[in-house]
This record gives sequence, C-alpha cells and structure tokens, in this order.
Amino acid sequence: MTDQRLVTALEAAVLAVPGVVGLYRSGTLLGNALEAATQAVGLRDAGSRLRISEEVERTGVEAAIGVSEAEAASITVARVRDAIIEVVAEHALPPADVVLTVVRVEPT
Amino acid sequence: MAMTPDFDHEHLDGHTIQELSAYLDAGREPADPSIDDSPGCRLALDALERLHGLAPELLQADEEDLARVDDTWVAAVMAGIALDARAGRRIPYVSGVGDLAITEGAVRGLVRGAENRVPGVLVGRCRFEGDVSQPGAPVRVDVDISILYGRPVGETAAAVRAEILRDLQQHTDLAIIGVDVRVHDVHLLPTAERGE
Amino acid sequence: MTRTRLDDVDDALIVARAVDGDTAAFAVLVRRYAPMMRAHTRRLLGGTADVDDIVQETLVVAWQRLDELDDPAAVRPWLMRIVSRRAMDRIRATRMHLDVNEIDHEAPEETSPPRIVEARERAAALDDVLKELPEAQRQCWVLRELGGQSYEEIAEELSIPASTVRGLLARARKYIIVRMEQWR
Repeated sequence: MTDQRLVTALEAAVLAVPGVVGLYRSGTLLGNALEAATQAVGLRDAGSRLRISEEVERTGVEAAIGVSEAEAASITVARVRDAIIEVVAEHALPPADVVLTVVRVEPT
Repeated sequence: MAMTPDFDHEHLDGHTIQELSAYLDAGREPADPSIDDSPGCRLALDALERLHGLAPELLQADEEDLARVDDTWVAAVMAGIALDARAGRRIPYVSGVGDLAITEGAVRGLVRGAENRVPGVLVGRCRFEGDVSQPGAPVRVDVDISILYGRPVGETAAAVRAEILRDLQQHTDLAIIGVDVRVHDVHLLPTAERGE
Repeated sequence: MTRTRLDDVDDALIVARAVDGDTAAFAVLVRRYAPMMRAHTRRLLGGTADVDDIVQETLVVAWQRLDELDDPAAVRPWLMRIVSRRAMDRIRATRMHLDVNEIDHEAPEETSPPRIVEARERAAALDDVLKELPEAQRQCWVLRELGGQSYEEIAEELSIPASTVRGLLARARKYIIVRMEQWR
C-alpha cells in the first residue's frame, strides 16, 4: 500500500517545477505496458493523478503533465523527472523508474 | 390559394396515398407515368411536396428557439469527455534517464497555436506521417489551413510553415523532414465585422 | 490583429479540429447543435423528461466517435441520427408495446385551428399539429423529415416492418396536410 505521504510529496514536487501547468489523471494514455510487465502490488487510486508501483528493485512512477509554451517542453519534462527521482530517494525507496507524458502545451 | 387535395382512392386514378408518399420519398424514381400524368395524383404530390418543404422551417425554428443551451449545460458535456480520447501516439524525447514523451494530441495543439501568431489563419486538420514513436525516424507534417479572404496566400502559408517548424523544433525531438501547409479553404470575417 | 472567432467557422473546419482534440472547437459544435437535438428529442419522446440526459450523452459519444465521420461537413445529420437512435432506445426501454394499429385520427371539426399567419408561425403551427398525431405516426414523420432517416432505419428503431413505416408515414402526412389546410 503506497504511502499517502509519498503521493502528496510527489504531486507537490511535480507541480512546483517551473514550466509545469498541470498534472492530469493518467488513464489508458500511457498504455498498459507497465502494468502488464510487472507483478508488483501497485496503487491504482482513481483519485490520484500519479500512478505509483512499488517493487523490490524499482519504484515506478507515471504521470501526465501539462507544460507552458514559454520553455522547451523537453527541458521542463526532464526537470519533472529529476524532481520525482529526488522525492523517491528522500523516502528511502528503490530508485524511481519514471514514465512521463506531456499531454498539453499551454500557450502563454 | 391551393385546394386541399382529395386523398380518396377514386381521385388518385387507382393509386393510394401510401404509394404517392413512397413515390415522393424515392425522389419520383423510377418515373411512373400513371402517377405523373394523373392530375389528381399531381395535386396530392404537390401537397406532399409542400409539407416536405416545411420540415427545414421547423429545424430553423429549433435552431433559433429558447432551447439554446447555457454554459452550465455545455460544461456538463465537456466534463464527460475523457482527456485522453485524442492523445494519439507517444512521441519520445531523447533522454538518458526515464521514459519521457509528448503525445500527438499535445503536438497538434501546438501546431494549432500557429494561428495565434499569424494573422488571418485558422488551422484545421493536422497529421504526422512516419513512425513518430521511433526516435530519429523521419517525419512529415501535413497541415490544412484556412486563410482570411484578402490575405496573401503564399506569404501566409510560408509564415505558418515557419511557425510550425519552430514550435516542433522547440518542443519535440522529432526528425522533421518537411512541413506541408495546404490552403484548404478561404474564409470571411462575419458580416458584423466586415463593415469596419 | 484580426482573429476569426471559432463560433463563426464552418462545420467542416470545426469538426477537423475537434477530431484532432480541440475541445474548444467541440464546445462550438455542442452550442451549435444542442438546441436542434433537444427539440428533436422532445418531439420523439412527446415530453421533456430525460431530454437533457439523452442529448448530453449523445454528444459525449459523438466526441469519441468523431473520427468515424466520413464527411466532416455532414456532421449535422450525423448528430441527428445518433440522437434519434438514443432517444428511440430510451423509448423502447421504458415502453413495453408500441401500438401501430392506431385508429385513424380524423381532423377534429370543433377544436381551434392552428393559426397560420406567416412562415415563422407556420412552423409553430406544424409543431402543434405534430403533437396531435398518435405516437408511432409522429415518430415516423419526425425521424424521416427531421432526422433524415430511411424507411429501413426507422423500421429498425421502431421494431416494425418497413412497409408499416410506409403506411404510418402516409397517414401522418395526410393528417398534417388536411389539418394545416383546413382553415386557411
């Protein structure tokens, strides 16, 4: 059972990254590859906007984000990845395996 | 003033109102001289035709009437629409760590944004040809635009192409081999604004 | 800078954008056709209950199936077709039996006639006359003339043979013509 504090910390960290304008509920958007490949007990919380799956060797984190047009999307999304890796490490969990998808580029 | 046609059997030269009604729906094809040459039938068909002509008036009245929907009503529909219904394929970023990508839907949204920066343009359909999910694979972009009447077509299309290319280079890692901008249509400003 | 508002743009372009995921464009479509779809549904149902549910659900389904449209300019009849089907599904689900052997309604002699003064009022008069029709006849006429459906499609909706549809349509048309011209 994934710690609610982890979820909250991750969401907050993602939204705090400069250039991020939104965090969306990711459903079939990211495909089912991650799910099919693992046997992990993951948290599938309809209310959460992050999909987290805690395993022995890795902590899977999936998210769908919106970014601002003002900065290159590739830069923003890389920053989000780094923020997620950091938060997971702070929680003394196996290294984060991050899957991020930009679903919207918001015009300024 | 039109006479009310008699729909009685004997005035329709052996035909029934059912037959005439179906004849009308079939566009009077194949032509039946026994109907077309009968005055009684023609009268009845005229009446049926006139009634048929009233239907668009009814539709027109529907469009104009108080059944107009308000913002709350529209919001209820929009809430029912899934965000990822139009996402399309995932387009990966070149990255050492993690699986980072952008959706086709997001990129199309970007492409549409060109109309904010090039005056007199509306962006329509946008398609990507090539294996966008494969990093480095060559990709062509096809865009339909509509240009405001009076604007220079060649220049405007070129400006749109330049904007799109810039956006794609800034926000994706796609290997773009071409951006085809097709002027699909020309549009006018609504009448109220034309008189300025 | 001159910006063209989406509101004034043709269906074909609006649909093209909506297919690509532009929700603002889809909202324009919703505003444009919801009134007609609601009026049509109301006529089919013979009342106003459920009308909003049916039309809103239809629009959500339409969003999901927008790429099935062969001709984006023909989005209006496409929407009318889907909403007709949905309305008829609802009618079938709530009624057990559709009586097609209805007694022919003779035009009433004493009831007040629809006042036919000009085109706009003629549409209102037609609307009133439609309400006088027996349900099956009204549905056939509405689905055919306003929904643009074929005899076969209507037959499927009502679960009756196409030949019965033909008969119901003829009776409906005869009634409406006589009624509309009665006091001209």
